[in-house]
Amino acid sequence: MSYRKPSHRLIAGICAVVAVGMVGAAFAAVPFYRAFCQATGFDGTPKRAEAGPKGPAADRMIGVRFDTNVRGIPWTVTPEVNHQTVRVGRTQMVNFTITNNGDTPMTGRASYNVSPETAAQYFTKLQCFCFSDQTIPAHTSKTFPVVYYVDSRFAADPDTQPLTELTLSYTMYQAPDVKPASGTAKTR
Amino acid sequence: MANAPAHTADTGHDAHDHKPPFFQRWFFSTNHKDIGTLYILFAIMAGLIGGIFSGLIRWELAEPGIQVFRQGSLMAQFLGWAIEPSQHGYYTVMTAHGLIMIFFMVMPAMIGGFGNWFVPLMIGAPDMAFPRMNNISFWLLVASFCLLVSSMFVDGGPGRGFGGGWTAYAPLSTTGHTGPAFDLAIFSLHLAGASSILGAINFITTIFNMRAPGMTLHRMPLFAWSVLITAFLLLLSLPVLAGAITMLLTDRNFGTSFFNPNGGGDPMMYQHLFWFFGHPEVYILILPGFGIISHVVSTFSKKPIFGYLAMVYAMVAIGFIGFVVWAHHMFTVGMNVNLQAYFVAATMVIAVPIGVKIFSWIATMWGGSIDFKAPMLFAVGFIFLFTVGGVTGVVLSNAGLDYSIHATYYVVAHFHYVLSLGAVFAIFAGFYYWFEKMWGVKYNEFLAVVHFWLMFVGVNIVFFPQHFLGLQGMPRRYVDYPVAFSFWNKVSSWGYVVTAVGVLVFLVMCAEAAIRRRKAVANPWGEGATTLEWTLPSPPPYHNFNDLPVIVAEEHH
Repeated sequence: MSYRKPSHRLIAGICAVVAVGMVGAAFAAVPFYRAFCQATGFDGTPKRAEAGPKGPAADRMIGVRFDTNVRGIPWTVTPEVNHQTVRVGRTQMVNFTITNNGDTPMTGRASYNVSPETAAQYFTKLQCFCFSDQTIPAHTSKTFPVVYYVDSRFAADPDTQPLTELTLSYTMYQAPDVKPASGTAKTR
Repeated sequence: MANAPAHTADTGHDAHDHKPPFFQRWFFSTNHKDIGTLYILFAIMAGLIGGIFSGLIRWELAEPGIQVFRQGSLMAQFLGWAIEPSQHGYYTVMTAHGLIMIFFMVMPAMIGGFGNWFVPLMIGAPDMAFPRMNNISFWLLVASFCLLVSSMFVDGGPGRGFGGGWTAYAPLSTTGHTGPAFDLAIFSLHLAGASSILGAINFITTIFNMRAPGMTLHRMPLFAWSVLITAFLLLLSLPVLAGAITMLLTDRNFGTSFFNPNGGGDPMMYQHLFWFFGHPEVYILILPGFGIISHVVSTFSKKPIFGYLAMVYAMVAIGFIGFVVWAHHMFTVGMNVNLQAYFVAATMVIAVPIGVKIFSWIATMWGGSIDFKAPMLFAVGFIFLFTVGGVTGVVLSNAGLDYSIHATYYVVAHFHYVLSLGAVFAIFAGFYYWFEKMWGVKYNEFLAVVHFWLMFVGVNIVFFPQHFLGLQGMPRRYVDYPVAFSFWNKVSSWGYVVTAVGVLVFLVMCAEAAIRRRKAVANPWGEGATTLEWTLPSPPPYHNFNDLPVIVAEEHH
């Protein structure tokens, strides 16, 4: 019976490896997806940079609105202004005041997002309280500067032509004791 | 297959009809035909339950306002023990309808049922490669179904059962449903997935290793091809669903945050993972139907199928492209325009191999001596309905249009035309085509034709008006709607009544055939039926092909 050369077990084994591999691929998609969003600004993930904008500022103004939320932590997060009008390609700063209204010192972590999502890839932060966990003593306020710019390529992207305003949104929550299993890149 | 040896009596002893006793035969079955029969009976049962659920949905939507899913209604009195008489109950029923029809009706009927029955017969194999694993596949599915049904009876969070749709998007499925109902549903999907993956491995091994001498891949009947491609899609896509719902499970119960922004996760990633499975899944549902339709059209036109190789590679192409178009389900999440353009173009490309298949079926019929028996009626009905669904699919694939008709009844109408009507009509075509072969008795042609016409008229009345509703902006999933949408909803619900009568006629047809027991013949369809299963008696002997047939001819597909 030469036509049965590869044994049943071999074929079934290869299939089983493929199936297990696809489960692995599904889980591997988690860090991959996060890295992808970080690298491309996909899905509203703003970018992070060490140095300021390169090249000249564009001849375009854009509104930036600040939105703050807290979840499950007795803090208040307040921007000094709710709205700034900035020139695309020029560095800007805004202060956020974070108050711990609780009776114990607590460590909070901020997740952040920019909408509309097509604009997020151009929104770049140089300094932010969201880059690391923040510990604030009881009944104390701290002020954190956020330094950012909207990349000048924003002005050249057809996707962003209709936009007049972006929203930068923060949600502050208690930093988990354990690291989230799904990686940490986005919240750091 | 004129020159394949007819199944002559056997070699030596009469092991052919040595069947094990009832309990062993049906509960410990390792026989591909018996397991196929079990799958088909299971699919009919699940289809009736899912059909009753869709009846409840149409009953509720017959008029604006909430009449059925509330305390004190007729439904609450008779089904209140099983279904919560509340808006959440409606969402539960809608979710269960989708899951049951996909995982417990179409897939078991096409792959488990017809696949198990006819793939070994068509390729000239004595049985499946792993008969015991075949048995495990079936009983895992039964266990899975029990878990899904039990999930309707336990707390889901907003009420009894899980009401987050078959897509189970986070965060509605994580923080939105805190009760254990969705955990049961997750386990149900795990088991159904395991069942299908084992089945897929079995089919791939069988088809690669156990073809009769001379049965090369390029001589293999189209139904066997369609099951082979489906098996590969299952093998590659279902594990991704298993991974995604496992992440949901740990997000819900063990504090991980795969999809929870509070911990750095992203709910959008669930949609990507889900649709990476979900889009191939819809081809899993329809590809075996393509195979069945090819056989039926060829048989009843008394011509070999037009463009056999093109048909094969069209299915292969559909399988491949099916993996790279998933985000067309997600145009409205805010993707950038270039990405949308890619998914629009890739999606539209699928219309090409589908078109190859549609035109090849028409070319097969062209000039043929067509016999409009019930299977052929269902096959022609399939081609019509699937084409309508395909056209609305091309409409939906435009991201610009999708912005306004995303998640409206236009989408509901589209996928019911290709699945509820397309896939189900293919199943009925196969059921009547192989009725004598499977059950060993003849069906009543008159009842079958009445069944066809009631179904055909009924489902069109149900789903065609939903195109209008969708274009007018009626969103899907909600339990209620503004009065402005009431007329076409009323029409749609009356269509359900017509369809339900058609299903009753189907059950009467089954009962009539079972009572009268007219003796079946080996090949009731004459010269057009050329595949190997028609060389065996009806029903085939318990052990088929003890002498492997040798295939030399060119005209078998």
